[in-house]
Amino acid sequence: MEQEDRELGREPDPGSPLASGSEVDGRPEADPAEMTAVDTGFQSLDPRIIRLWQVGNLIFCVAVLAAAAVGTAFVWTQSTISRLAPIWMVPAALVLVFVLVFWLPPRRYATRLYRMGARVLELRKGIFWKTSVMIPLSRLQHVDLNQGPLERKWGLAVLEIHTAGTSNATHKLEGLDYETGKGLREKLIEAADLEEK
Amino acid sequence: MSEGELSDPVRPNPDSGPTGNLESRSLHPATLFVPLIETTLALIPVGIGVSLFAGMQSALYLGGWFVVLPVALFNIARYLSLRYEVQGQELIIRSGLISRRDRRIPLKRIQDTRIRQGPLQQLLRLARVQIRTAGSDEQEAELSVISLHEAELLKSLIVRRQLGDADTAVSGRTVETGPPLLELGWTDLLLGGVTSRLATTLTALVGALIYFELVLRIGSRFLPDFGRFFDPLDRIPIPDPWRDSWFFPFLDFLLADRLLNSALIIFAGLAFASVGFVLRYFGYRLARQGQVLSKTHGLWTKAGSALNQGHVQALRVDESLLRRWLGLRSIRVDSAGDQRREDDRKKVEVFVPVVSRSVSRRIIEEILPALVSADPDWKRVSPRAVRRVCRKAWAVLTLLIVVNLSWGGMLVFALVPAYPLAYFVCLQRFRHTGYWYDEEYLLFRKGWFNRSTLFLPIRNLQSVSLTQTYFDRRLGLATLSVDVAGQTNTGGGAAIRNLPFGVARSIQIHLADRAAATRFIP
Repeated sequence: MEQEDRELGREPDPGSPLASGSEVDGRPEADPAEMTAVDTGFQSLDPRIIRLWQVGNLIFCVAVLAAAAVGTAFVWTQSTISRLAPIWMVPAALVLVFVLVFWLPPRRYATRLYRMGARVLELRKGIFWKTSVMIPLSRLQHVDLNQGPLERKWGLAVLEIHTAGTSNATHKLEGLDYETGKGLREKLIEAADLEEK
Repeated sequence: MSEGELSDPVRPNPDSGPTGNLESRSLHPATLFVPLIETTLALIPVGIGVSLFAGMQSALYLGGWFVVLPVALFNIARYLSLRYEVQGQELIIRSGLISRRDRRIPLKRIQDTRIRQGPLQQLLRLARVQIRTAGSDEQEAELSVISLHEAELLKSLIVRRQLGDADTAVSGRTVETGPPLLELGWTDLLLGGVTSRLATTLTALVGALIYFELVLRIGSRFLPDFGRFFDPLDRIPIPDPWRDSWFFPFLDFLLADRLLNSALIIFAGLAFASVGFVLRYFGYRLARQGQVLSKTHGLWTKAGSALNQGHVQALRVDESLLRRWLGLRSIRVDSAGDQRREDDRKKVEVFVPVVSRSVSRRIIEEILPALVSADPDWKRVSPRAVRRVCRKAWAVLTLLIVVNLSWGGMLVFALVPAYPLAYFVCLQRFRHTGYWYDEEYLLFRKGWFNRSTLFLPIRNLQSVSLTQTYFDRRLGLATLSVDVAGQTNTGGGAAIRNLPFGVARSIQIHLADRAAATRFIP
């Protein structure tokens, strides 16, 4: 058990749940406050996913800006307001492009992590809303490996893990190298004994 | 037990041979007319509505061409084409006139078997069997209409498979049915009806009626005497000397004013709700047979179902304020056949409609084996939850006051006592929020006025998540949520907010580890 703990990259429990659960209002000193505090043994995605996200977001920005430009042109022809009024859209567009294309993807990459343990797969994500999902491998129903057009070109893949759950039944792991994804899928299926079922 | 009644699922049956097979057979000939009559009867109110607007003739025309004829044709086709049989471990249903469909459902995979009888079907000793398997939103198969005898036979075969070879086939005897876990008498039914949530709904409904009558005066236009119902003084014969006495103005005020009307409405709502509750749960009986829990109930529509205890994904106990005062509660369960959220088409079903606190504990411990206690030593979430929620409430209050001040309104004085009240409510909610877990179960309770407790077998958990918002991280808190395979009746897995991060993390690891070590059998 202890060996498996190490394998899963677990830290020893920060005190028994009983002790910290019954504490009176005060900081749980010994406890870490964030997920990053206990991160070890996690794997990152393929860094090429940053470029993929950038391209995707750029396409999105272009679409939004084109729609905005059409709208602006329409307002221009129809109204009597100053021709310079829509100028505020230029900085807005710049901010949008900066955030979605340059600021977000690398940060997102830094927070997307996964860890394949002996019996549990853990997925992490979130910049503002941090989430960690632990999926017991014995709960896997089926595992898909998908590729979009750009992903096919760059040799990336999306792993889609299905459980029998309801509100959170499908888990996606984007940005794997295709071969890594295939290997991970094999490993997951093997660990889950899907063939036996 | 008289004929025509739903019986216990397993009893020695001469018709099913030693192999437990069921020869290929078609539906009951009543399929040709029973669904047709039921549909027609159900559509009579709509028909009346249509004929009010468009005349009797067009209503009949519309109904004939677009309802009666299609339903009749559909049922003729179904009667001619559908064949079902049980071969070994499978229920085989062949259907379809044009494109044939051949469904094979492994008996072991069946989550829930239900037998339903409408009044007409009760009279003719017919029934409808609904079968659900894991992962399907709708029932997997429905056999309608077959004779009650056939329905019982099918159910007993399925239940026998569920009980497993060890129990029946090998030893060659059926599992004994113990004494019923619960039977509801008249007192339980009436108490349950009066306290059901239905009561609130119907009260609101009648309230709307009154509103239309008193405020909009819609009813009187159609029915001249409609309004008199709401003016009881005109109808109650009161002796003349009373009318002259000093207290009459008070009485007049009390009766003629909305007070009595409201009381009447509430009383009518309660009466309606009780009647509905009694109709639905009349003769409620819950029994256990090995692993299988079977219940039967209903007066107007008789319903019976068999659920394997091992298939329970989640169990929830609800106590509304009224019921808690009376020491009553209700129990809901979800199997993996209850995938979808509650919506218009998917109705919530209550497993045990009303039960006393002590009996409920026994039932829960029967449904969930190896549960240490139905009311364990609850652990609380972080006390910071109080401040956090309270601050939100205070912010809203402050906003209200500011807005109100800008109008120069006097509501401000009414709102000031709400500050301590909000704090008190937050504190109470915190005190009654609790979780507990061991190797087998995760328990979570919440709510102060209306309380609910969720019991989740860890072997059925699908995933365990930990979420931290920005504010969570500042306070060192986290939300732990678990996903389970059923959610229609119980609302699915728990989301435990405001846990100290370290605690949440260690619970997450514990739950995921325990779940991984067990095998999920939907």
